[in-house]
Formats: sequence, C-alpha cells, structure tokens
Amino acid sequence: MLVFLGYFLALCGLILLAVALFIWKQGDADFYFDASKRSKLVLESVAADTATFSFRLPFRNRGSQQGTVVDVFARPWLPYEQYSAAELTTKVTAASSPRDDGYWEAALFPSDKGDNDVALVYLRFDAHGGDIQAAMDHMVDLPLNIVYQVIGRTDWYMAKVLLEVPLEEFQQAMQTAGTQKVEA
Amino acid sequence: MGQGMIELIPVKTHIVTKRDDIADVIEKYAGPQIGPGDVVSVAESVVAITQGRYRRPEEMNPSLLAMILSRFIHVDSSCSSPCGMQCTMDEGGTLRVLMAFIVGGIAKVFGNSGMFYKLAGEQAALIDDVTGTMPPFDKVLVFGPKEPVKVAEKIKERLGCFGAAVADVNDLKRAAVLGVSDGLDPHELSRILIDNPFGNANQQTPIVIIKNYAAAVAATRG
Repeated sequence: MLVFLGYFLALCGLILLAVALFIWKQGDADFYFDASKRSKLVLESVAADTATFSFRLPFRNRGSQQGTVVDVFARPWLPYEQYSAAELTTKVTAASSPRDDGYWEAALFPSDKGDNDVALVYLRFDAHGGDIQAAMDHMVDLPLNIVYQVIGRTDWYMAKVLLEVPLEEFQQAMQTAGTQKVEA
Repeated sequence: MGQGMIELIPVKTHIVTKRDDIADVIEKYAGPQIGPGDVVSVAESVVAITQGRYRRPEEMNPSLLAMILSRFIHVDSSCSSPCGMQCTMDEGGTLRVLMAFIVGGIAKVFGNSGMFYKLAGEQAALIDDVTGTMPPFDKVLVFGPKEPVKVAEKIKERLGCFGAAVADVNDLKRAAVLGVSDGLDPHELSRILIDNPFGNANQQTPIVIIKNYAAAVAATRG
C-alpha cells in the first residue's frame, strides 16, 4: 500500500513539475514602454491662455505571449509648491487608433521584436493668470509617469515608466509655435 | 426560403447599459419600422449587458486552477486568460470545467478539437474577454445572455412582430442563434444573419430587423 502511495505521489510530483516547466517555457506578455525612444516635445496648439504639447512613446510586447493593454494614462508629478502658473491635464491615445476623448481603448498586441504601437501623449497647460507665455516662462523639468494596465496569461497588473521632460524641450517647443504637428 | 423577399435593416442605438431594458431599446429605436411580418434580431452581447452579465477583471480573484488551466487554452480563446477561465468555471461549475478540460485534452490528442467548449457549458464559447466588446465594455468580460428564449418571446410580445431572436454573429462567417421565439427556425435565421448585418461594434447597430420574414416563409411553403 505504501509503495503504491509512493508511486502515486511521485506521479503527481512529475505532473506538477511538467506543468510548471510548460508554464515557465510558455512565458507571458511583457510590455515595454521605451523611454529612450520618446520623441521630442512638439507644440500642438497655442492660444492666449492655453498651450498643448505632445510627444510619441513607442511600446512593444517583448514577451512570448499575446497580451492586452487595457489602459494607459499619464500622471504628472507637478506639485503647486514647485509650479503653480498653470494647470496641467493629460491625455494618452494609441497612434494606431487615435481618439481625442482621453479614453484608452483596450487592445490586443502579439509578442513582437519591433514596436507594436506608439502612445501619443498630450499635455495641456491652462494658465491660471490667463497668459500662457508668462506661465511657460516659469515651467520646470516635468517628471511624468506613464501608467499602464496589462492582462496576459497571468492576472491583470499595473506598471509604470517614469519619464522626465526637461524644461528646455518646453522652451524649444514654444519657440516653434505652429510649425510642428505630431503624426498620428 | 425566398431570401430575395427579405430585407435586413440594421438599427443604430445609444450605448446600451445595464440600466436599459432591451425591449424598451428596440421599441425606442426600431418600433416604427417593425411590422407584423418581421423578425427582430438582437446581438447577444448587448442582451447580456442589459442583464448586467459582465465582470471587471479588477473585481475578480482567479483561482490557482483557473490560472493553470487557462495556460493550456489557445491564446485566441476567451478562456486563455485567468479571468476568462474563472468566469467559465463560475458559470459552468469548477468540476465540470475541469472534467471538460481533461476529456477535451484527451480528445485533442486524438485529433478531435473543440471538445472542451462542448463539455464546459455554453458560456465557455460565449464569454467575450477584455477587448471583445466596444467601449466602455472593452475593459470587461461579457458573458452570454441568460434565458435568450424568454428574451426573444418578450421582444415578440412587446413589438407585435412575427418573431424575435438573440444571435451571436461575427465577421468570421459565424452565426449562432441562441434563442428564438416560438415558431422560428434558428438554423434558417443563422443562414440569414451569416454576413453579420450587425456590423462591427463601433457601428453601434445591435438590432437587425429582418423585414418580410413571414411573407418569405409563406412563399417557400407555397
């Protein structure tokens, strides 16, 4: 009886080991937002009291399984103690299916050696004093988290990549008012 | 059937939610166009949404078994994610899904694919995973509708039409009629709806009126 039990337990152990090896070899989706490939900031539009900038951030699924990017949003770290001249709001959309409502439409992406898509990130500044030029004169380096929600072969999770948009990019973009547009 | 007599009319609606009653929606958007000889078909996912039959992944806690079993399901299936598999287990029963998995796996070894979906309960094939439905339901898992026959009967009674159907149709030439009102042939309706007159999700046309259906049936029967 004990011998039979031993064989049974050994068989269960072998099955569990085989399943674990299969799952390990199968892998999962692994999304990578490549901060090093971020495009320079461009000025989308400017008016007396508001300015909208944008940049492109490529991302790819470098894992071994298809995965879903359920949501993406940009979270600026711009406290009023550091900058209070304008209010910053953000929008993120996919270049492959752009929308202007700030809603990220969940999409499947296969594993790929190249970029799967590009996140278009929009930064809108509304000057508190009504003068966007004056407000941008006080701008600082902008730390910006790109936060994304993923579902793959494992349960859903959230991750983020921290970018920094330097002050000089805002200044240069403001000088090119109306001459550059982000490509969808 | 004399399908030349039949006309398919897709009907656009607002984004239907669990606050809506499907019969009210049909009456509001399609009521004046529906005659006594027509059949009203409605997309199954929209019926399910009106029944509140969807779940957010964030509200779920997939079991270890769901996480393991989902690994062995083809990546294109809704059951290939832990949440999709957990939904299937919640609807069909954990033991039933486990047995379907084992038997389906053995059947597949012998070249008989798809057995898992036949054995795991009808919801296994009906659940739409995240991205399977249009915004704002692109971020949730949508189940198949409950009691589609009752829904079809209710629509028929409310609209005074020849009949009603709840259908699962896609662009891959797959049309499954899940429930029909009394007297309708689901296979005939599947053939009529095979080209997906509902369009893609963004067209927002979850209702299709099959005009002159009764006359076409009468003509066929001579």
